Amino acid sequence: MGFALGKFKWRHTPTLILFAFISLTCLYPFYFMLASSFKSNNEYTVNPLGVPRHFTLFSLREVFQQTNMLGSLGNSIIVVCGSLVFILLLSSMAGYAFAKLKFWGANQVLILILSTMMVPIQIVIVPLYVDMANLGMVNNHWSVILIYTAISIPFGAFLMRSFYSNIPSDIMEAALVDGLSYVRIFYRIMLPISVPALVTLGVLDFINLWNDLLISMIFLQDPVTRTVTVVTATLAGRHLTDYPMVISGVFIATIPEVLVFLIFQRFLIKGVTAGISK
Amino acid sequence: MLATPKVPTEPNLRLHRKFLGKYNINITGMLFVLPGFALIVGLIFIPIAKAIYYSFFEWNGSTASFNHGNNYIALFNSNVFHTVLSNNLILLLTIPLWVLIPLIVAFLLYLEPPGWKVFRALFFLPTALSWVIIGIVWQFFFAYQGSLNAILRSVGLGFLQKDWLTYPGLALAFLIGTAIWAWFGTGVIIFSVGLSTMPSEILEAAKIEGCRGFRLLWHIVIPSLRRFIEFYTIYSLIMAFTQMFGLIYVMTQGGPGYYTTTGEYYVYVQAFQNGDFGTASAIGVLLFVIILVVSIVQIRLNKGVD
Repeated sequence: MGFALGKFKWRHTPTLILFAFISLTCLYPFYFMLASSFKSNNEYTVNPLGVPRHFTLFSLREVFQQTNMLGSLGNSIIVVCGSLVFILLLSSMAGYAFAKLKFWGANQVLILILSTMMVPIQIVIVPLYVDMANLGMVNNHWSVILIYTAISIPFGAFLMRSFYSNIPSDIMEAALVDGLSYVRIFYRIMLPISVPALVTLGVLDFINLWNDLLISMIFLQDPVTRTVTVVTATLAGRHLTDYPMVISGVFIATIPEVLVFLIFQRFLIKGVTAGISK
Repeated sequence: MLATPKVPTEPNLRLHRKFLGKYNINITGMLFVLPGFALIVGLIFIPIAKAIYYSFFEWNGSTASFNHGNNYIALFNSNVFHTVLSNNLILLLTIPLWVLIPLIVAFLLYLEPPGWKVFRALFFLPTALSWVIIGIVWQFFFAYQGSLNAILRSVGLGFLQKDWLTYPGLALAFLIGTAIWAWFGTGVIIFSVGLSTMPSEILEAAKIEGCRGFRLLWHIVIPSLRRFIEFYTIYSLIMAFTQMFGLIYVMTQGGPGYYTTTGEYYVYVQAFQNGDFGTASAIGVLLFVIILVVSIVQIRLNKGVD
């Protein structure tokens, strides 16, 4: 058999057909976003699926004019990155304490914290809204930052605890003998070591929080403070007749995420090769 | 003056490790956990208690009157809620698909057909997209002016064209199908990790016995991956019941009627479209209970298999 791929066997055919079909569906959204963003509404009506015959930037421009796309991108960045700062700090602190500092009640607290991962956000969304409204914090970025942090810490603390548990206790003991306080040990030794885990956690939470609709829609209602996810979601409802414009908005909103995704892939590879070379 | 070397300071240890009998009071430890724990108590635990409290009131945000559980009674009698519950039930019944599809795909990848690395990367692409983006793209696909109908036209099946998402059964089916599609890349990765931890001796033994393909999957692989399957089943269930809001909001808005409104979406409808905070809280509580019950049942079932 002269197949360049070498390992081809005829019995693979059904699998390959299935894989080809699935791949098509996976690629479709990206192709669709790219193709449609550069069509005019008129062209889309006659040619929804094909390659743009009259390439135009009109729809993309429309998006920036009709919506607060730039501002919302800024809002998303503020809210998500702000949350990440607190999430990473508090998760690593808690993880370190659970893993290395034995204290009374640690197990109980850990179980309590982990149990919140089973709680659906929908049960607390009403009380939280009432609380925030009473505090005048609706349309304030901090309300969302606090909520995002609270819901992300359980998993983060769990992850960091697992990471710190794997660090041999000799390091702790040597540091203690050298006279370092627990706090110093944390920011001099533990925190720097855990950067790969922190980055992983950061990327996972970034994607999760950037895509959140429910919380950001409820707590940041003013068009000035809206996040990009909310703007995209409401685009579809409001401009239902102008498909290319909506897709342009979607396309722009996707770019930051996909960028983070791609960068994350590379970091992962670097981390693995660094670990091997050590 | 020569600097004196730092002496190992025992006092430091004593400061932070106080033993009161058998209780190890490590203040630093407690302080490190405190901020995170305080946030969780304040923004999750206390609101849960409040939600349970609110669910017993008729409340629209300004006037409240105690309701003696009328919210719950009204829900159980409401046809809309019956539809919502049946949607959740249908969703629950599709969970095996949520788990099996990535499992089978991961297994097929494991057999390493040509180009499998490329395919694996492609299958993971949807996870780079948000639910909102996915919802919009696929909603356009199923819309009357959309791609599906365009494809049907181009192969001469134009008479089949419909506004696909306006049919109750089809809307729910496509909604769930989209969710499965969006989610299956994650499952493939998780199960691929699991497959890579399978000891090769078992595989060698199986190969010698002539066990291949489907039989290999059923008798060898699935039992080895049991922990992963259990974990991923519960994970998918929680995702399906609590994380589909964005998808529903952009794809069908819970419609047509209430035929794609799941419990989580109904909370939003009641609270922020109808302004009925009491009922919304009640639904939230019920949702929580349902998830707890199903998860516990799941875990008990799995323990029984051990």
